[in-house]
Amino acid sequence: MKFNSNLILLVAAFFFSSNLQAGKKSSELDYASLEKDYYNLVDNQTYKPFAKKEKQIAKSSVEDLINNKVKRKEREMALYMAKHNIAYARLIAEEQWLQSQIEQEEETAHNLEVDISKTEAEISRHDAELARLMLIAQQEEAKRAYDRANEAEKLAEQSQKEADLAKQQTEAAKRYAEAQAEEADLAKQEAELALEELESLKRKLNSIASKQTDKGLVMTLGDFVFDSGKSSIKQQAIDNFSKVVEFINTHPDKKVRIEGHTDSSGSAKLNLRLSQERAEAVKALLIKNGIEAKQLEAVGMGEDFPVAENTTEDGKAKNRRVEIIILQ
Amino acid sequence: MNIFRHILPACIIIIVATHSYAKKEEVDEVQEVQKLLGKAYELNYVDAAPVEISFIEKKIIQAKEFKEKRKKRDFKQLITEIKADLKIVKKRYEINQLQKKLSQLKQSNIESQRVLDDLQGQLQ
Repeated sequence: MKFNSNLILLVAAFFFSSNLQAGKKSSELDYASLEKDYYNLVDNQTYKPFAKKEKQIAKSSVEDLINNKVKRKEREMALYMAKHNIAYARLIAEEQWLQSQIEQEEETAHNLEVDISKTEAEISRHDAELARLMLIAQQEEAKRAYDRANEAEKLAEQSQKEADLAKQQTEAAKRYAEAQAEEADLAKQEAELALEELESLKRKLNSIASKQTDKGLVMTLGDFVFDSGKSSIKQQAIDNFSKVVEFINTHPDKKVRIEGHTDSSGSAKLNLRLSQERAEAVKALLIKNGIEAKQLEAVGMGEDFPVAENTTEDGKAKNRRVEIIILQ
Repeated sequence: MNIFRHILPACIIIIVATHSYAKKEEVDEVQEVQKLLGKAYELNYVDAAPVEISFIEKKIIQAKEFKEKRKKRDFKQLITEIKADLKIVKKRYEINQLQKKLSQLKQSNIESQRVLDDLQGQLQ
């Protein structure tokens, strides 16, 4: 019986020992894994500054297990809780790290917001400055346009004035030319008239013929020789007086009587004086042409010796005359 | 004999009293962890830690079994584990929220930086 009891004790000891060894090996593996998890956590550089309290709790729970401070029957639970503490510490560390990242991002967001606000303000200032410059440019452009318009208006006015002036000058020139032309025409007409008159006078002077009368040989000068109503002799007649002079020179030894006659128009006294003056004028002209003054006698006969009726113009013209008589 | 006559009933009374108290406590703890699990569902913690939630559900079932089998020590250990697991789940959820917030902030900052770059480009 003693042997049997010893054998039972031996078998029991063996089983107890083997179970103990197996349990010890299993625990060692769990602890190694636990320790590894813990050091993975505390060595993580990202999470190093975070979850210090939770890491301390995890450390205590791990150390309690490794140092056999936990009762055998509580070890399973302690192992679970140590793992939990490590996991929880990791989560807390991650949470705190995330919070720090969030704070950084929020700070970045704030800085960006400030920068955006500043930049927007800068853009607004820039836009305002641009708008101000554009406004100034527009005002200057408007002023330049206004000045150009004024200048153009002044130029237009000046051009209009110049055009008006040119028109006036043209019209004046035209009028002047017309006046000149008219004047030229008039001068031409006058010249033609004068020429005609001269020709007529020449013809008349050349056609003057002498005739024998009781008083002697008479040459009659019509009133065409004198200026109308005057005693002065026309220049043309003066220039063409040679025939009269020749007529007298053909009788150098004889006295020459120059008688002036008028028509009946006007007073007899006036007519007498006019006839005298005309006779004197002829006498003076003859003297000027070389006739001796002593050979000549000028007498005004007035209207008393007409040769034709004074009732017609033709008759009156015939009565207005100067007779040059070569006395016998 | 006097000892058995007086002490034994007293021991029986104490044992019954502590047993009924312990039973009440076990029932409360199961309800408590179930309540905590329901709250985790309400707050969508399950999205953050679906595997852990699944383990917790199994552990609650097992805890009920331990309770029925009156394995007090196992039951207590399991309840402790469930509470610890729920604490982890909650923290996972909170970390998820923080990660989302961080991601949104980063994205927002990228967009803000782009806006700032555009604005600064306008100033050039």
